[in-house]
Amino acid sequence: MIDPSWIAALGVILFGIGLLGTFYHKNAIVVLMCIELMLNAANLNFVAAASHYGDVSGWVFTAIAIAIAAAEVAIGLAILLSMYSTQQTISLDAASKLRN
Amino acid sequence: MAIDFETLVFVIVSGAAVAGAIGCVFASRVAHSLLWLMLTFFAVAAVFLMASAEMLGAIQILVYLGSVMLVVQFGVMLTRRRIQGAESLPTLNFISAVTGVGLFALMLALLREVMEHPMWDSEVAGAPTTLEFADALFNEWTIATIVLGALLAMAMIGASYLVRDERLINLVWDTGQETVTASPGVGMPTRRTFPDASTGEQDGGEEE
Amino acid sequence: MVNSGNEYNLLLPLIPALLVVPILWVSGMESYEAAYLIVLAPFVASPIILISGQIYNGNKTWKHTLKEGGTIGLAALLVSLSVAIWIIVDYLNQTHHFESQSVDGWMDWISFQVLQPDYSLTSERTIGVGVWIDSVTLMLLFVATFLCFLICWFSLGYMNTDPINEDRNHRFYAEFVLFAMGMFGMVLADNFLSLFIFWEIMGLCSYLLIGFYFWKDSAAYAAKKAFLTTRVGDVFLMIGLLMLYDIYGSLEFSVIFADPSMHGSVDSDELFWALLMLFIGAVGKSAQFPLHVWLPDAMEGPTPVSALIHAATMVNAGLYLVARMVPFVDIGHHGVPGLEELGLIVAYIGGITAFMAASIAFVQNDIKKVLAYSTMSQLAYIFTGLGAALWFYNHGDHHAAAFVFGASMFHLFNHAMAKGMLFMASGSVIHEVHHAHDHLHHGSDHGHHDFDPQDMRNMGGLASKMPVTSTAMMIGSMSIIGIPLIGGFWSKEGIIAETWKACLDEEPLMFGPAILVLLTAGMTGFYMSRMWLMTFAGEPRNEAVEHVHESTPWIKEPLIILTIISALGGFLLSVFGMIDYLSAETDHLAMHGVMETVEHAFLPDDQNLRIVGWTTIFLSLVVGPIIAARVHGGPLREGQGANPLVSWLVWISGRFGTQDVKEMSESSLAEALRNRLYFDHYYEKALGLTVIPLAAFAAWFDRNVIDGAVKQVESNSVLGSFQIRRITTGRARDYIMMTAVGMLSIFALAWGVS
Repeated sequence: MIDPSWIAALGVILFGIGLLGTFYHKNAIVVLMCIELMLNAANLNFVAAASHYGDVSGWVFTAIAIAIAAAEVAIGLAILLSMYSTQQTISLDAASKLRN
Repeated sequence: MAIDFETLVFVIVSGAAVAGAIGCVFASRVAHSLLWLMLTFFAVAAVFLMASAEMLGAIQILVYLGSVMLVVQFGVMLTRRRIQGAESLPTLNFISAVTGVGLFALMLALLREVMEHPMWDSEVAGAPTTLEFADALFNEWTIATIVLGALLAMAMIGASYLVRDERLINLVWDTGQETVTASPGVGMPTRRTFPDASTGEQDGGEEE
Repeated sequence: MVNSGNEYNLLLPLIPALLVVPILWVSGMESYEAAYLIVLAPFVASPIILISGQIYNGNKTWKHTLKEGGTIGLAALLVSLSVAIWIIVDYLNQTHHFESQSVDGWMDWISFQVLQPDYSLTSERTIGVGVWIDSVTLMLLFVATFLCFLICWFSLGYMNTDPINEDRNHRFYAEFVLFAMGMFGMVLADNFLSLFIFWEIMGLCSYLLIGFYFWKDSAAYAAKKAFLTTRVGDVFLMIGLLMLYDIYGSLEFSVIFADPSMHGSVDSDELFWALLMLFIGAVGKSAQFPLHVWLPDAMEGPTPVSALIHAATMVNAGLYLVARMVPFVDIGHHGVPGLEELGLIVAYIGGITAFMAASIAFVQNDIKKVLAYSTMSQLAYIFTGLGAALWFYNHGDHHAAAFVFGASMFHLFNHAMAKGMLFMASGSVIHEVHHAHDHLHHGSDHGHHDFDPQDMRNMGGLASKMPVTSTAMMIGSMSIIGIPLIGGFWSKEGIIAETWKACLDEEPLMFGPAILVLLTAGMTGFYMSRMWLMTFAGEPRNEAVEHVHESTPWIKEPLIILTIISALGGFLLSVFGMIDYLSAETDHLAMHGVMETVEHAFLPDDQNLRIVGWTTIFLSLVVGPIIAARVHGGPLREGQGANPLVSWLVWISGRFGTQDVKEMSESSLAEALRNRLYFDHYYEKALGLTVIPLAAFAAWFDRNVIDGAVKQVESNSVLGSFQIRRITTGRARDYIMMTAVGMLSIFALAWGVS
């Protein structure tokens, strides 16, 4: 079996890239995708730990995280659609009403 | 150290994951980002499999690639419009560049930290089995699972509420009534008016 | 003006006040338990007068029946007076509750623990509120309550008949009564802290009352001057109190006076400086030499205020404080040795002030200013006496110390009575001259503004017009001069004689104060006679004066009462051994032989003292008055009568011939005296050279450094917030980036720390 620390390392790399994406992109949908990426990185960490210790809890957390990610995507897209219907854009730069 | 087959596969798979992630972030078009992201998810599912988490790999493919990506694809299609670049402050650009470099450094530092963490020194216990996973999920974590179900249901309701059509005409059409001549503002909720929002209103409502 | 002959029904409200003491007595209360009423009654009355004055101003009943609050104040002061008399009678009768000193702490006001440098707490300390009664307290209590009452009575006639005070009198009475409360409280206080608090209440009321005519620039200026000058002393007083607290760990009289040397552990140098600070406070309050400049200007206040505060009561507060220093230095009773310099300093300040004030009084033409300088001079006598007493106590000569201490306190009594009465009499003169002038020039403003009713050059020959006032003023002046057998003689002789005794027998340095007070005795004779003669003798120098007549009985009665006390009080109380009683040599007043007393005063055993005594009498009785008579004396106009003693005096004043002093009065010395020896001038110069640049520097420092720093912080933060606001774009991704920055910094920090 593969060394679990490598899986964790992969998780770190994916997380970093996802974080970078969240603030380099204007498009809300891409930002959403980057968040998914980060969630996946976290899941990899859980799985690595579960493999190392032989503890099933890590898997349970991963399953829960995946379910929550699905819910989050649904809500996030709904918000984006509603924003699009009022503002004709999903650029995050446009969502700056709170400032004024 | 000899490179065995498993390691080779892992290197290929993780390379694909990283490449997909980078592609997702730096692709110029949203649809391309989506495709690159799918590659990453596939690779992650493969990693799950290699870590003996077959069940999780299956869930990953089913949920992420099957449904989440589909939903995102819908989102991309429904909101197609060019994102015009707003001018950002030079200061902020500078900061974000520095932050990018900093993040890269952090990533390297974290990598070293993670790889050399003392937790890996202990004996590898071996992955649990899918049976144990099911047992844990439905015995030990029952409540969590139930709450998760409720959460998903609420997310669904909330999402459909957020994208509902608030226009009076559609409401009337929904309830099957014919005549509503009530002046706007009395009783029934009316659509908020945005001076330059005439085109967006249409496709806002019909997508459910 | 006002028909006040039938106004005595106004005194009906006083009946309940009179009943207070009998009711308390019948209900079985002890007199000392009622002592708080002395302070409480005026304290309650003051806001009542003030507030109802604001509400009912202009109301007929308020104005005529209640005299704009005067009656209420009078009732409150009557309560104080009756309770005070009750206490005094009890004390003199040696009711068993009184030891020679009685302390009654009613309640603990503040209790606290002190954190010491080694972080341990001391045992609990308390500052209480209570009453301390001994013979000095009694004497001052009587002086204060009695004079406050009489002067309030006098004010009913003086203040309420002057149109300029219309609808303002409630302010006067409220402040007056509050002042009375401060004085009573200070006299009764049983610790230095409450003494200081009441002391400051008096200072405040003094300020308010001097500035009663605040729309006049001179009054506002005088009030400020008085307040600030006494404040200089008060700062030192506060420092002194803190030093005392540092030494003894308490400010209670009972704790400190039980053993002022703390079994010999008190450092005499430290105590010396503490007491010197207290003395500077007293100097400010009693208008002595370096801080005397406020008192003459304080005459801007209404005359009753001058009578009350600046002659009879408040200025005595400083004397009282110095009198309270006696236990510290009394080496016969656990006092601290080595403090003789303190007595010398006090005596020197007294001697210098006495001489200086008397000389300035030579040339003053304002009747109240003469009295003001006379007050300074007489208070300085008392300071000299107290200084000698402190010196003797510390030197170990207990008998001489007790005698001069008692004499000083007795002089305080005599002077307060006489000077209060003199001021009221001068008020009577001013009042009537003013009215006569108004009457004469009724309907026309011509000549009104340049007519000064206080200027003695406008008077003359008033003896026939104002019989009561002239007699009263004569007796009062005699008491101040020290004419044998009358009032102040009995105490002044003691002061001068004992100061000389200290000088001749023990301490050559005492010669300064001794010679100064001796000379001042003659000078007092001159300027008091001059004032009286300029006012009452000779021919009228102004047409208004011919129409003067005494009208208001409210003014006359206090004068008569005080005249009797001034004339006979000194002699009677001397016969009863007042001097010994005040210095706690005896614990009761008892009849001595009359002849013995007289012999003691005129023919002391000591040869030197006999010479000094007779020199004093010669100077004050013969030299001073005769010179005054040669300059200002003269018979009344033909056909004008007066009562026999006064007319004899006036007649005899014209028999010494006349002397032209025009040349002398134009000399540079007279000019300097007229300008009060340029004290104000030099003080102003000194202030201009020190305080004003300092103030300017402080203002600059405040504007540019303190405010500047604040403004820099403010403007920089405004600028910074502009910058930061540009960064807060409102765009989500920027915020995410900021979050990433924060995360990075936290990581960096964590790694940096570990």
